[in-house]
Amino acid sequence: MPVYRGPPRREDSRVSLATLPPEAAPRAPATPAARFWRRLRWWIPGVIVLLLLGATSFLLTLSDSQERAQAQDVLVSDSLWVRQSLQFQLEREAEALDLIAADLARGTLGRGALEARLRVFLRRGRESLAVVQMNHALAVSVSVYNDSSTASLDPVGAIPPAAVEAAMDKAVRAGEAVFTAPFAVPWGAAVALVAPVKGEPRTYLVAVYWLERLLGEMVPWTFAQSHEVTISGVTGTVHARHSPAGRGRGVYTHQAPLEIPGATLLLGTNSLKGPPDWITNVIRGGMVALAVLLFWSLWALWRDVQRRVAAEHRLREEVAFRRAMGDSAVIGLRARDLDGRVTFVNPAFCRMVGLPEEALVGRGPPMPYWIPERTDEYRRRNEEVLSGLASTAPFETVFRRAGGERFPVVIYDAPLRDADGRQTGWMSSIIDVTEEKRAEERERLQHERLQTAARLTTMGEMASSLAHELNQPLGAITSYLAGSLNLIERGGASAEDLGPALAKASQQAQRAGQVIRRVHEFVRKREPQRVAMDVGALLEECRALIELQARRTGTQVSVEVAPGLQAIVGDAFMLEQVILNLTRNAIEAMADVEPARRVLAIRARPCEGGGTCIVVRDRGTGIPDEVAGQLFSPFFTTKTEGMGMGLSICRSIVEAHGGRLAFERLDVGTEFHLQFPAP
Amino acid sequence: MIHIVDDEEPIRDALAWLLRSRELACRAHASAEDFLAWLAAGGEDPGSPAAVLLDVRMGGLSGIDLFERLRSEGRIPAWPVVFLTGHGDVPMAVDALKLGAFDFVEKPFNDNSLVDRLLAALEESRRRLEEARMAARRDQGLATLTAREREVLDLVIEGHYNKVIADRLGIAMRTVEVYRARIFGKMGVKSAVELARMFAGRDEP
Repeated sequence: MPVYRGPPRREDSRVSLATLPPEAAPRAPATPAARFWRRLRWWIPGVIVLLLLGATSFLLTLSDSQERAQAQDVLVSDSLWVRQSLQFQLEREAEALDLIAADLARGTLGRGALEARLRVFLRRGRESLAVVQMNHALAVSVSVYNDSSTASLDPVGAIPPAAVEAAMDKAVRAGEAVFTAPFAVPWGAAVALVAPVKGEPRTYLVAVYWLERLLGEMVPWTFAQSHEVTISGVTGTVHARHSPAGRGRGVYTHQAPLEIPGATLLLGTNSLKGPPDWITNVIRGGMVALAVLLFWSLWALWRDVQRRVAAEHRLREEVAFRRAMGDSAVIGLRARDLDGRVTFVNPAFCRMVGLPEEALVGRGPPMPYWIPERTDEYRRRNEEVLSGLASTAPFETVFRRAGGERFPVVIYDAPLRDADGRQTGWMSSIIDVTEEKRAEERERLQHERLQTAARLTTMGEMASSLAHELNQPLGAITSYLAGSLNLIERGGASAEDLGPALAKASQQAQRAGQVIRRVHEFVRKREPQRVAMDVGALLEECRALIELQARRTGTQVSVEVAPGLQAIVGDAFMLEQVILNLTRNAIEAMADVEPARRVLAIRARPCEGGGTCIVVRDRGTGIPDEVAGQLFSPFFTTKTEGMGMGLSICRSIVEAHGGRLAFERLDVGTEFHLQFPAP
Repeated sequence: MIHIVDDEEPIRDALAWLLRSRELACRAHASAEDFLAWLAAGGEDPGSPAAVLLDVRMGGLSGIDLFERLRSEGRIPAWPVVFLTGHGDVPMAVDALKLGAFDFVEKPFNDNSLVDRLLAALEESRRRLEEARMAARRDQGLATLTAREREVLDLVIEGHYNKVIADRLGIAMRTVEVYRARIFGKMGVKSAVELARMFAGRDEP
């Protein structure tokens, strides 16, 4: 399971795209089995919680039932003990009464002795209310009561005769005392113990037992405090109930037969103890609540994990996206930490410097792609960049490929920040500008060629004018000389004849020489020079050529130079070209206006902000709106045979001199302003 | 007479000096307009031989313009025109030649060869004037001939002997000789050769 390690921390800033674990690459689509297991792993905790809940519940139930069983066992043994003692006590009563009956049958007892014996009997067993001697007809001969209160109850009178008679028969048959079945009396229920007295007439000793009292006397107090004890008949009728501490809860009950001589009763016990439910319930409730809580927390955890998984997925996609971006980029990408060690490079950068990624990542300065003799410069730049002093403006330098080839690059640096916005290094994009440099060089050459071409065009146009101009003096000279030779050959030519002609020829030769010199200077291609030039001299230099241009259309030329102008520093030849270009344009602009208007004015004056201005003004047709916008664009021309380079080159030249070339549209014609800064 | 038409004063002056050094009469004109004005004022007899040296490139009316004007005035056949052309003007000069200019000289020129050409042009002028005169005389004479005389004339010009002519026309040899003498008289020639020359260059008599 791939684990996203979180954003790179400061102490681990080298964790970058390049050093992300390989698992960060997009995962292969999950197989159905993997998906099944992934889903299952969320069911396991749920099932475990349910099992835990079940087990706890089972344990609780188990302990509850054990507790019940234990309580029941205690109840049973206590009940049996009570029964035992009851049974034992009643049997002893029966035996005691039998003993008295036997003594009575022997005739050894008088009435007084009998009463005394019966009193002792009653005192010993306080549970009987009264004991009487009666015959078979239920006539009482002797009666002894436990106390006066019991006498008032008339226990003997309450005995149902049928029960007594049945018991008498049973006792006679058994030859010993037996109990009657319980019978109801006005104050509850009672039983009678009937002991036969042998002799004639047959009598019986009958003791009456109040069952409630029996229980009250016979059941120990501690037992009675926590149990309800009942005596019921075999049919289930409750005859007596002893529960001084309240009614039984019916949870723990026991019923056992109470075997007494002549009768069978049921002794029931019912514990006052209720089931131990509240603890169990609290524990159960708590368990359920905990389980719910557990489920909720599990759900929350699942949600959180889902979110993390989604975030991780997005991150993975993002990483893959960025990686693809980095891989596909043609510009080199390189990241460095704050110590200047490379933490990431993209394939383009590797290709650029000709080194594999492994050879670059982790390297600190000096870098393998540095040029040895420029190491100091790189180091300085590196330190500046890493300390944040350097601007993030592009930086041009030269790198070395692994093969030793050098190539120019432009570097853009941008700070690299972690998730908390802390800077962890620098990301640089490196552009190999070899091609650009080449293109620039090509463009420069092209421009130079175009400039030459433009110059040649200008020259070509002037060539015919120049040829004409040269042919005039040359033609004149040859004619003068040929004529003179003719005269000499014929003989008789005097100096007076020849002198004026030769003087005129010489004059024409000088004129031709002047023209030649101008042309020579005009055509000669020179490297740009920077010399301080007097503006007046510059214009004077151009003047002959301007006039040559102007002559064809009969344009008047006026040149005015303000005194005390600052010199212009630059290349005289180039500036002449500019001026000639402007004057040519001006003259051509006036070709279609009436001849009187054809005036070309050239003024040199100080600029308003210092420096020197040359203004070329024509009174021509002006510049139309649609032309004005692209006047300086290369290859824009209004002339059928123009190349559209003139003004473009002019502006380049002027700007190369630190000046400005502008134009102003006048009411009549146009003014071109050449502004040169003060030297 | 050589007429120089050029707006460049040094050229005019130098050419005039050159021509004079070869003892050629010349007259310089500062522009085409000047020249036309001078002609209009009757400055030159159209019948006298002359040549015109024209600069192609001039302010105002150009050399070609002037040439057209001269041609429309009918002066060209009698007065051959030589153009002075500068660099690049050659196609223009070739056009002029096609229109009937005598020659053109490209600047800078070899001066004596220029003079030679002007001399040739003058000669041509003379020849053309002579021719014109002869043609005028011929046409005049032809108008006076009878039909029979025309027949005899045609055969004479073809170069047949009198005997052949007599046989062709079925007349006596003597009669042919009489016709010949009469034709010579009317045409103002002295010989058959002279007569033939008079008709040379004519496609049909």
